Amino acid sequence: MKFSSLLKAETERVWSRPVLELTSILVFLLSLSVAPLVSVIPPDRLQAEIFSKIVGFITLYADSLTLFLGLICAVLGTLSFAKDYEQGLLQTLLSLPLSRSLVFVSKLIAVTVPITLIAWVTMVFSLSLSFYFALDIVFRTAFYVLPIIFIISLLSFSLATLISLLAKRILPSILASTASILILFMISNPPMATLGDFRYLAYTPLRAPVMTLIRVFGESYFGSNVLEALPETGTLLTLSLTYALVPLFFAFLYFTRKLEIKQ
Amino acid sequence: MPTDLRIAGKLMPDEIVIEVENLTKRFGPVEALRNLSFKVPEGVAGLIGPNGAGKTTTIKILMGLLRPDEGNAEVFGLNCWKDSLKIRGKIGFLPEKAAFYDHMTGLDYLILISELKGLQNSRNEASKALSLVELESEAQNRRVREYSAGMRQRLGLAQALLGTPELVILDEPTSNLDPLGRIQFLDVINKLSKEAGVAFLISSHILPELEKVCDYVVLMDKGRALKAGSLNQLLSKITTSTFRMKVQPKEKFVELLKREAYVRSLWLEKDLVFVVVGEVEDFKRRLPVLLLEAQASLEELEVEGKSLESLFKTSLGG
Repeated sequence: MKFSSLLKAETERVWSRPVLELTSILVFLLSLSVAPLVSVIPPDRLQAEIFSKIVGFITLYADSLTLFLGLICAVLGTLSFAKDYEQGLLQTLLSLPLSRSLVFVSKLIAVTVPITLIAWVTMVFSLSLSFYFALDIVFRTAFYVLPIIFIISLLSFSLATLISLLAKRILPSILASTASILILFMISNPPMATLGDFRYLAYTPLRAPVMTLIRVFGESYFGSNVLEALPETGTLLTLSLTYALVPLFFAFLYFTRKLEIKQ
Repeated sequence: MPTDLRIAGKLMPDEIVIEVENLTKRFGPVEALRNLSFKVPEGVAGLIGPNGAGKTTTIKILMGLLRPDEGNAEVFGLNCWKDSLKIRGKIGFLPEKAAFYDHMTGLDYLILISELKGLQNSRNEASKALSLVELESEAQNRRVREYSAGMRQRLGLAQALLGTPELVILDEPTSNLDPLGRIQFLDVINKLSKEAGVAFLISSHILPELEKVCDYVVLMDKGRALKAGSLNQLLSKITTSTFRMKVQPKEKFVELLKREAYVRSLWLEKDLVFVVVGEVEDFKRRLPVLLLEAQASLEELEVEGKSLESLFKTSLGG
């Protein structure tokens, strides 16, 4: 009861007008911008070819989404903690008979789950428009992208939360969080020339989840030699989760054990 | 522990609600609390002191929002940091700057807080609390972000009183209330304290108001408790007298007065000179001499009655 009430209040606040509307429009525009990159093929083509095109769309979409998703999660995560700390809502919540873990988890879910669902639903919608004749493949493949979007959101949220809890001020937190996401994006997007570059990319925090997706599908828009150069699916997934969970673990630990309301 | 911090009279050990012992808290180089020790029994207690005395820091430690560097703080015999969750289940709290979920109406917000406090029949509890602070009509339809400062203060009070907690801690509860709101607020405290047995710890600068409701007072300055005890006891212990004077010109007169042995403390407020004297006869005898020496004229002279305000000023030396 306590958890659901707090989660509802947090979700309503984070996604109040115009945040939900703006995010949805931006994600939808992003998905439309990726769609023309994959040439739409006639419905009578082979299933394998359709699958390949859908996978191409999904991985390109997930790839393009990382920066946008990273930035929006960083901003919302910062507002959830630094703004609440600065304006006193965190003090109000921590003065109630609520465990700190419950407050932390509510804030985490209130940001990451809706953004994941918005990005996923938008992607499925765009795919369904382009590949209306192969909806079974669309839904089967789209299923796999859901946890990948969640991992990217989680990573960005975790970093932003950790920074916000340490900085405790809105402006420095937002600047530091967005800067950290931009730096991660830059190290995840160097000019690619050789297979070695792709191997390197697989180990970067923002590209590892996308590479996991490529591995799961067994298809790559970069070519089959790239696919062979990538580490195993398990390794990539573990790596992606580690990148997301390590800052989250420290943020959680700090919030539940150390955080003091000095404001 | 200094003797004046011991509680005599009605207090028995099992009636102690708050116990603070050698509490020290530092914020970088600033020592906000320095070996602070006091006990607060049931009833209405006032935490008074000038800005920077450490009142809010003390309250935050009691609420488990700050961790003391040294010493121990207990509420209902429970450690304020380790058992914070248990304590918070028994406490209602109004911080100095209350913040809310601004997108909700006041009623919805209090229903949410009732649910988060685990209260049964949260709508009833919310309505009850709103009627206590006379906010029921405004709170129904307006979002909190549209509230005035006074309405927000009332909402914060309603939140603190929600579910009739065992102890209510209020940090500057009347700062944004109008005179009528303050009177109503004092009535609510009196009623809850006497009829429902709710204990209160109130930090406030408005001493005449505190005096009306407090049974017990902790006087703080520079992170320490200067005095703690029942209000009546502390007032009866005042052996000095405070005089309020209007003297023109006052500069030289004040300088001369400061050198007098019977003067305990002295301070200025606008045109007035306040002086706390130990031996009233000496003061009466010397006053004309000093005025003559300073070539000043005495326009007004009044003796201040024993009040929380005079206790406060006397203890702080102005």
